[in-house]
Amino acid sequence: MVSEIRIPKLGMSALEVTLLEWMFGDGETVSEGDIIYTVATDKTTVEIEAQSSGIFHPSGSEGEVYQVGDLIGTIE
Amino acid sequence: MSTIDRARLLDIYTRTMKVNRTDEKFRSLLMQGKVAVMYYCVRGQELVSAAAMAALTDDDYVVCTYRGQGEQTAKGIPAELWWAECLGKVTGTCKGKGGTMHITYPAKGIMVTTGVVGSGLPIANGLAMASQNNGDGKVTVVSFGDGAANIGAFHEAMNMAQLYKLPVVFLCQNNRYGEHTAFADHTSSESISARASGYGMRGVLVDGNDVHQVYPAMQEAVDRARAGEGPTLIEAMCYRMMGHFFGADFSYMPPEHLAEMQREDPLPKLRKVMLEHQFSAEELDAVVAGIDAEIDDAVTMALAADLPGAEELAIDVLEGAPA
Repeated sequence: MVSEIRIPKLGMSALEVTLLEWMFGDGETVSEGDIIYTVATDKTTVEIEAQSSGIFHPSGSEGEVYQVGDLIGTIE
Repeated sequence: MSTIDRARLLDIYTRTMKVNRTDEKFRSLLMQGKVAVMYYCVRGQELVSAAAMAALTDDDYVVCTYRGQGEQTAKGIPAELWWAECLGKVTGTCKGKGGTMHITYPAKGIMVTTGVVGSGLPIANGLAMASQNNGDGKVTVVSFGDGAANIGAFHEAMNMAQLYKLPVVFLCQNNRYGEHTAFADHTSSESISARASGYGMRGVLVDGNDVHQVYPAMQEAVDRARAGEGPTLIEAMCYRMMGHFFGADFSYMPPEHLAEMQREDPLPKLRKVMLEHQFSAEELDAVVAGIDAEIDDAVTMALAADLPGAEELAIDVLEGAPA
Protein backbone atom coordinates (compact mmCIF):
# COMPACT_ATOMS: atom_id res chain seq x y z
CA MET A 1 0.00 0.00 0.00
CA VAL A 2 1.33 3.42 -0.96
CA SER A 3 1.29 6.07 1.75
CA GLU A 4 1.71 9.66 0.77
CA ILE A 5 4.08 12.14 2.38
CA ARG A 6 2.49 15.56 2.43
CA ILE A 7 3.66 18.83 3.94
CA PRO A 8 2.24 19.02 7.49
CA LYS A 9 0.65 21.99 9.20
CA LEU A 10 3.18 23.11 11.81
CA GLY A 11 1.46 25.79 13.82
CA MET A 12 -1.37 28.26 13.61
CA SER A 13 0.06 30.60 11.00
CA ALA A 14 2.47 28.44 9.00
CA LEU A 15 0.97 28.05 5.51
CA GLU A 16 4.20 27.27 3.72
CA VAL A 17 7.44 25.65 4.77
CA THR A 18 10.85 24.97 3.29
CA LEU A 19 11.87 21.36 2.72
CA LEU A 20 15.37 21.40 4.18
CA GLU A 21 16.79 17.91 3.84
CA TRP A 22 15.82 14.36 2.90
CA MET A 23 17.41 11.82 5.24
CA PHE A 24 16.98 8.94 2.76
CA GLY A 25 17.63 8.49 -0.92
CA ASP A 26 15.20 7.33 -3.60
CA GLY A 27 14.57 3.59 -3.34
CA GLU A 28 15.95 3.20 0.17
CA THR A 29 14.01 1.33 2.85
CA VAL A 30 12.58 3.36 5.71
CA SER A 31 10.99 2.15 8.92
CA GLU A 32 8.08 3.67 10.78
CA GLY A 33 9.48 6.22 13.23
CA ASP A 34 12.60 7.03 11.17
CA ILE A 35 13.22 10.73 10.67
CA ILE A 36 12.76 11.03 6.92
CA TYR A 37 13.06 14.77 6.38
CA THR A 38 13.36 18.15 8.04
CA VAL A 39 11.38 21.28 7.30
CA ALA A 40 11.72 24.89 8.38
CA THR A 41 8.83 27.20 9.19
CA ASP A 42 9.20 30.91 9.89
CA LYS A 43 9.66 29.96 13.56
CA THR A 44 11.44 26.64 13.84
CA THR A 45 12.89 23.52 12.26
CA VAL A 46 10.96 20.28 12.62
CA GLU A 47 11.97 16.66 12.06
CA ILE A 48 9.28 14.54 10.41
CA GLU A 49 9.03 10.82 11.07
CA ALA A 50 7.89 8.11 8.66
CA GLN A 51 4.41 6.90 9.58
CA SER A 52 4.82 3.59 7.77
CA SER A 53 7.61 1.27 6.62
CA GLY A 54 8.60 0.57 3.03
CA ILE A 55 10.48 1.85 0.02
CA PHE A 56 10.93 5.59 0.01
CA HIS A 57 10.42 7.76 -3.09
CA PRO A 58 10.88 11.53 -2.75
CA SER A 59 9.30 13.89 -5.26
CA GLY A 60 9.91 17.17 -3.44
CA SER A 61 13.27 18.97 -3.64
CA GLU A 62 15.53 20.21 -0.90
CA GLY A 63 15.48 23.99 -0.55
CA GLU A 64 12.07 24.37 -2.18
CA VAL A 65 9.14 26.12 -0.48
CA TYR A 66 5.91 24.10 -0.29
CA GLN A 67 2.35 24.76 0.79
CA VAL A 68 0.75 22.78 3.63
CA GLY A 69 -0.74 19.65 2.06
CA ASP A 70 1.59 19.50 -0.97
CA LEU A 71 2.64 15.97 -1.98
CA ILE A 72 6.42 15.58 -1.63
CA GLY A 73 6.93 11.83 -1.68
CA THR A 74 5.62 8.34 -1.02
CA ILE A 75 6.42 5.22 0.98
CA GLU A 76 5.32 1.95 -0.60
CA MET B 1 -1.87 2.79 48.79
CA SER B 2 -5.53 3.27 48.01
CA THR B 3 -7.67 0.42 46.87
CA ILE B 4 -9.41 0.86 43.55
CA ASP B 5 -11.52 -2.12 42.59
CA ARG B 6 -10.59 -4.10 39.47
CA ALA B 7 -13.60 -2.99 37.46
CA ARG B 8 -12.73 0.64 38.06
CA LEU B 9 -9.07 0.02 37.26
CA LEU B 10 -10.02 -1.50 33.93
CA ASP B 11 -12.30 1.43 33.27
CA ILE B 12 -9.49 3.90 33.98
CA TYR B 13 -7.03 1.89 31.87
CA THR B 14 -9.47 1.85 28.95
CA ARG B 15 -10.07 5.60 29.18
CA THR B 16 -6.32 6.26 29.51
CA MET B 17 -5.48 4.24 26.42
CA LYS B 18 -8.31 5.84 24.48
CA VAL B 19 -6.72 9.21 25.19
CA ASN B 20 -3.26 7.95 24.30
CA ARG B 21 -4.19 6.15 21.09
CA THR B 22 -6.21 9.15 19.96
CA ASP B 23 -3.19 11.36 20.58
CA GLU B 24 -0.84 9.01 18.72
CA LYS B 25 -3.24 8.78 15.78
CA PHE B 26 -3.65 12.52 15.60
CA ARG B 27 0.09 13.13 15.53
CA SER B 28 0.53 10.45 12.86
CA LEU B 29 -2.12 12.03 10.63
CA LEU B 30 -0.52 15.44 11.11
CA MET B 31 2.97 14.12 10.31
CA GLN B 32 1.68 12.58 7.07
CA GLY B 33 0.02 15.86 6.16
CA LYS B 34 -3.30 14.00 5.90
CA VAL B 35 -4.99 16.52 8.16
CA ALA B 36 -3.98 20.14 8.63
CA VAL B 37 -5.48 21.53 11.85
CA MET B 38 -4.18 22.83 15.16
CA TYR B 39 -3.63 20.09 17.71
CA TYR B 40 -2.34 20.39 21.27
CA CYS B 41 -0.68 17.08 22.21
CA VAL B 42 -1.59 15.41 25.50
CA ARG B 43 1.24 12.84 25.63
CA GLY B 44 2.19 12.47 29.30
CA GLN B 45 -1.11 13.75 30.68
CA GLU B 46 -3.37 10.85 29.70
CA LEU B 47 -3.82 9.38 33.16
CA VAL B 48 -4.84 12.63 34.86
CA SER B 49 -7.67 13.19 32.40
CA ALA B 50 -8.80 9.56 32.37
CA ALA B 51 -8.80 9.03 36.14
CA ALA B 52 -10.51 12.37 36.71
CA MET B 53 -13.27 11.66 34.21
CA ALA B 54 -13.77 8.17 35.68
CA ALA B 55 -14.89 9.82 38.92
CA LEU B 56 -17.81 11.56 37.17
CA THR B 57 -21.23 10.52 35.95
CA ASP B 58 -22.29 11.14 32.35
CA ASP B 59 -24.44 14.02 33.59
CA ASP B 60 -21.66 15.86 35.42
CA TYR B 61 -20.27 18.88 33.64
CA VAL B 62 -16.76 19.44 32.31
CA VAL B 63 -15.10 22.62 31.11
CA CYS B 64 -11.76 22.01 29.43
CA THR B 65 -9.11 23.78 27.41
CA TYR B 66 -7.79 23.50 23.88
CA ARG B 67 -5.53 20.76 25.31
CA GLY B 68 -8.76 18.98 26.16
CA GLN B 69 -8.60 15.83 24.08
CA GLY B 70 -8.09 13.82 27.27
CA GLU B 71 -11.20 15.09 29.03
CA GLN B 72 -13.28 14.95 25.85
CA THR B 73 -12.54 11.38 24.84
CA ALA B 74 -12.28 10.02 28.41
CA LYS B 75 -15.68 11.53 29.29
CA GLY B 76 -17.13 9.60 26.40
CA ILE B 77 -17.63 11.73 23.30
CA PRO B 78 -18.18 9.04 20.61
CA ALA B 79 -15.03 8.71 18.47
CA GLU B 80 -16.82 9.30 15.16
CA LEU B 81 -18.29 12.59 16.38
CA TRP B 82 -15.05 13.74 17.98
CA TRP B 83 -12.87 13.07 14.93
CA ALA B 84 -15.36 14.61 12.54
CA GLU B 85 -15.43 17.78 14.62
CA CYS B 86 -11.64 17.97 14.78
CA LEU B 87 -11.50 17.69 11.01
CA GLY B 88 -14.15 20.38 10.63
CA LYS B 89 -16.81 18.10 9.12
CA VAL B 90 -20.59 18.50 9.23
CA THR B 91 -20.88 15.15 11.04
CA GLY B 92 -18.98 16.50 14.06
CA THR B 93 -20.28 17.40 17.52
CA CYS B 94 -20.62 21.04 16.48
CA LYS B 95 -21.28 20.44 12.76
CA GLY B 96 -17.64 21.17 12.07
CA LYS B 97 -17.87 24.76 13.21
CA GLY B 98 -16.02 24.31 16.51
CA GLY B 99 -12.92 22.40 15.48
CA THR B 100 -10.27 21.11 17.86
CA MET B 101 -10.34 24.18 20.08
CA HIS B 102 -14.10 24.53 20.64
CA ILE B 103 -15.59 21.09 21.10
CA THR B 104 -18.91 20.91 22.91
CA TYR B 105 -20.99 17.80 23.57
CA PRO B 106 -23.59 18.31 26.30
CA ALA B 107 -24.89 14.73 25.94
CA LYS B 108 -21.77 13.63 27.81
CA GLY B 109 -21.39 16.79 29.87
CA ILE B 110 -18.61 18.39 27.80
CA MET B 111 -20.05 21.88 28.05
CA VAL B 112 -17.24 24.16 26.88
CA THR B 113 -13.76 23.89 25.40
CA THR B 114 -12.05 27.23 25.75
CA GLY B 115 -9.27 28.57 23.56
CA VAL B 116 -8.18 31.26 26.01
CA VAL B 117 -5.91 30.35 28.94
CA GLY B 118 -7.73 30.61 32.28
CA SER B 119 -11.11 31.50 30.82
CA GLY B 120 -12.83 28.26 31.80
CA LEU B 121 -12.92 28.78 35.56
CA PRO B 122 -15.64 31.46 35.77
CA ILE B 123 -17.69 29.50 33.22
CA ALA B 124 -17.43 26.44 35.47
CA ASN B 125 -18.66 28.53 38.38
CA GLY B 126 -21.69 29.52 36.33
CA LEU B 127 -22.52 25.90 35.52
CA ALA B 128 -22.02 24.91 39.15
CA MET B 129 -24.19 27.78 40.37
CA ALA B 130 -26.95 26.68 38.01
CA SER B 131 -26.73 23.16 39.45
CA GLN B 132 -26.81 24.53 42.97
CA ASN B 133 -29.87 26.64 42.21
CA ASN B 134 -31.63 23.85 40.35
CA GLY B 135 -30.70 21.18 42.88
CA ASP B 136 -29.81 18.79 40.06
CA GLY B 137 -26.93 17.21 41.97
CA LYS B 138 -24.43 17.69 39.16
CA VAL B 139 -20.78 18.45 39.79
CA THR B 140 -18.71 20.61 37.44
CA VAL B 141 -15.03 19.91 36.84
CA VAL B 142 -12.85 22.52 35.18
CA SER B 143 -9.49 21.45 33.85
CA PHE B 144 -6.69 23.93 33.25
CA GLY B 145 -2.91 24.15 33.29
CA ASP B 146 -0.35 25.75 35.58
CA GLY B 147 -0.16 28.81 33.34
CA ALA B 148 -3.88 29.46 33.84
CA ALA B 149 -3.37 29.68 37.60
CA ASN B 150 -1.70 33.07 37.10
CA ILE B 151 -4.62 34.59 35.23
CA GLY B 152 -6.84 36.99 37.18
CA ALA B 153 -9.97 34.96 36.45
CA PHE B 154 -8.46 32.04 38.39
CA HIS B 155 -8.41 34.08 41.60
CA GLU B 156 -11.85 35.55 41.09
CA ALA B 157 -13.33 32.14 40.39
CA MET B 158 -11.64 30.46 43.35
CA ASN B 159 -12.90 33.12 45.75
CA MET B 160 -16.45 33.01 44.45
CA ALA B 161 -16.64 29.22 44.36
CA GLN B 162 -15.58 28.95 47.98
CA LEU B 163 -17.80 31.83 49.10
CA TYR B 164 -20.90 30.16 47.64
CA LYS B 165 -19.72 26.59 48.27
CA LEU B 166 -20.28 25.77 44.63
CA PRO B 167 -20.24 22.11 43.51
CA VAL B 168 -17.11 22.51 41.42
CA VAL B 169 -13.70 20.84 41.27
CA PHE B 170 -10.76 22.87 40.00
CA LEU B 171 -8.38 20.42 38.35
CA CYS B 172 -5.01 21.99 37.65
CA GLN B 173 -2.90 19.77 35.42
CA ASN B 174 0.51 21.13 36.31
CA ASN B 175 2.43 19.98 33.25
CA ARG B 176 5.37 22.27 34.14
CA TYR B 177 4.97 24.62 31.18
CA GLY B 178 2.61 27.51 30.56
CA GLU B 179 2.60 27.40 26.77
CA HIS B 180 6.32 27.88 26.04
CA THR B 181 7.40 29.06 29.53
CA ALA B 182 8.70 26.80 32.31
CA PHE B 183 6.81 26.80 35.64
CA ALA B 184 9.66 28.44 37.59
CA ASP B 185 9.76 31.28 35.07
CA HIS B 186 6.08 32.16 35.39
CA THR B 187 5.04 31.29 38.95
CA SER B 188 6.32 32.74 42.22
CA SER B 189 4.90 30.04 44.51
CA GLU B 190 6.17 26.48 44.72
CA SER B 191 2.78 24.95 44.15
CA ILE B 192 -0.65 25.92 42.88
CA SER B 193 -2.59 23.80 45.37
CA ALA B 194 -1.08 25.68 48.33
CA ARG B 195 -2.91 28.78 47.15
CA ALA B 196 -6.25 27.16 48.06
CA SER B 197 -5.82 28.03 51.71
CA GLY B 198 -5.79 31.70 50.76
CA TYR B 199 -9.42 31.31 49.72
CA GLY B 200 -10.33 29.06 52.65
CA MET B 201 -10.59 26.24 50.13
CA ARG B 202 -9.45 22.65 50.33
CA GLY B 203 -6.30 22.12 48.26
CA VAL B 204 -4.86 18.73 47.31
CA LEU B 205 -1.54 17.94 45.63
CA VAL B 206 -1.23 14.60 43.82
CA ASP B 207 1.22 12.78 41.58
CA GLY B 208 -0.61 12.84 38.27
CA ASN B 209 1.26 9.78 37.06
CA ASP B 210 -0.09 7.60 39.89
CA VAL B 211 -3.60 6.22 39.46
CA HIS B 212 -3.75 5.51 43.20
CA GLN B 213 -3.40 9.21 43.89
CA VAL B 214 -5.39 10.85 41.10
CA TYR B 215 -8.58 8.79 41.20
CA PRO B 216 -9.17 8.76 44.99
CA ALA B 217 -8.43 12.49 45.26
CA MET B 218 -10.81 13.20 42.44
CA GLN B 219 -13.50 10.90 43.82
CA GLU B 220 -13.33 12.56 47.23
CA ALA B 221 -13.49 16.04 45.74
CA VAL B 222 -16.48 15.09 43.58
CA ASP B 223 -18.27 13.45 46.53
CA ARG B 224 -17.73 16.52 48.71
CA ALA B 225 -18.92 18.86 45.97
CA ARG B 226 -22.04 16.76 45.39
CA ALA B 227 -22.76 16.68 49.13
CA GLY B 228 -22.72 20.49 49.31
CA GLU B 229 -19.36 20.67 51.06
CA GLY B 230 -17.89 23.02 48.50
CA PRO B 231 -15.09 23.12 45.97
CA THR B 232 -11.62 21.57 45.95
CA LEU B 233 -8.50 22.65 44.11
CA ILE B 234 -6.60 19.58 42.94
CA GLU B 235 -3.13 20.05 41.52
CA ALA B 236 -2.01 16.98 39.58
CA MET B 237 1.71 17.04 38.82
CA CYS B 238 2.34 15.67 35.35
CA TYR B 239 4.45 16.27 32.27
CA ARG B 240 3.71 17.61 28.85
CA MET B 241 6.10 15.42 26.91
CA MET B 242 5.81 17.39 23.65
CA GLY B 243 5.84 21.02 22.62
CA HIS B 244 2.95 23.40 23.23
CA PHE B 245 1.30 22.29 19.99
CA PHE B 246 2.14 19.92 17.15
CA GLY B 247 5.02 21.39 15.18
CA ALA B 248 6.12 23.81 17.92
CA ASP B 249 9.75 24.18 18.83
CA PHE B 250 10.43 22.71 22.27
CA SER B 251 14.19 23.00 22.39
CA TYR B 252 13.68 25.11 25.53
CA MET B 253 12.86 21.91 27.44
CA PRO B 254 16.19 20.81 28.96
CA PRO B 255 17.40 17.26 28.17
CA GLU B 256 17.41 16.32 31.86
CA HIS B 257 13.76 17.30 32.08
CA LEU B 258 12.91 15.19 29.05
CA ALA B 259 14.71 12.23 30.68
CA GLU B 260 12.76 12.81 33.90
CA MET B 261 9.53 12.79 31.91
CA GLN B 262 10.40 9.44 30.37
CA ARG B 263 11.07 7.95 33.81
CA GLU B 264 7.75 9.20 35.16
CA ASP B 265 5.70 8.27 32.07
CA PRO B 266 2.21 7.37 33.38
CA LEU B 267 1.54 4.68 30.75
CA PRO B 268 4.12 2.04 31.80
CA LYS B 269 3.31 2.85 35.42
CA LEU B 270 -0.38 2.19 34.87
CA ARG B 271 0.31 -0.99 32.92
CA LYS B 272 2.43 -2.23 35.85
CA VAL B 273 -0.47 -1.55 38.22
CA MET B 274 -2.80 -3.50 35.93
CA LEU B 275 -0.46 -6.49 35.78
CA GLU B 276 -0.13 -6.41 39.57
CA HIS B 277 -3.93 -6.62 39.74
CA GLN B 278 -3.92 -9.84 37.71
CA PHE B 279 -4.89 -8.42 34.34
CA SER B 280 -3.03 -10.32 31.63
CA ALA B 281 -0.91 -8.63 28.99
CA GLU B 282 -3.16 -10.22 26.34
CA GLU B 283 -6.25 -8.75 27.99
CA LEU B 284 -4.69 -5.28 28.08
CA ASP B 285 -3.46 -5.52 24.49
CA ALA B 286 -6.95 -6.51 23.37
CA VAL B 287 -8.34 -3.36 24.98
CA VAL B 288 -5.89 -1.27 22.97
CA ALA B 289 -6.61 -3.18 19.74
CA GLY B 290 -10.34 -2.52 20.21
CA ILE B 291 -9.68 1.18 20.72
CA ASP B 292 -7.44 1.34 17.63
CA ALA B 293 -10.12 -0.30 15.49
CA GLU B 294 -12.71 2.18 16.74
CA ILE B 295 -10.39 5.12 16.03
CA ASP B 296 -9.51 3.85 12.55
CA ASP B 297 -13.21 3.58 11.66
CA ALA B 298 -13.90 7.03 13.06
CA VAL B 299 -11.01 8.60 11.12
CA THR B 300 -12.07 6.92 7.87
CA MET B 301 -15.60 8.27 8.29
CA ALA B 302 -14.38 11.73 9.26
CA LEU B 303 -12.03 11.99 6.27
CA ALA B 304 -14.86 11.00 3.91
CA ALA B 305 -17.44 13.39 5.43
CA ASP B 306 -18.33 16.80 3.99
CA LEU B 307 -17.19 20.19 5.17
CA PRO B 308 -20.01 22.53 6.19
CA GLY B 309 -21.35 24.64 3.34
CA ALA B 310 -21.57 28.42 3.24
CA GLU B 311 -25.28 28.16 4.09
CA GLU B 312 -24.24 27.06 7.60
CA LEU B 313 -22.56 30.39 8.34
CA ALA B 314 -25.64 32.11 9.74
CA ILE B 315 -27.07 29.02 11.46
CA ASP B 316 -26.42 28.27 15.16
CA VAL B 317 -25.43 31.88 15.80
CA LEU B 318 -27.43 34.69 17.41
CA GLU B 319 -31.03 34.77 16.30
CA GLY B 320 -31.58 37.46 13.72
CA ALA B 321 -28.01 37.44 12.48
CA PRO B 322 -27.90 38.52 8.85
CA ALA B 323 -28.14 35.64 6.38
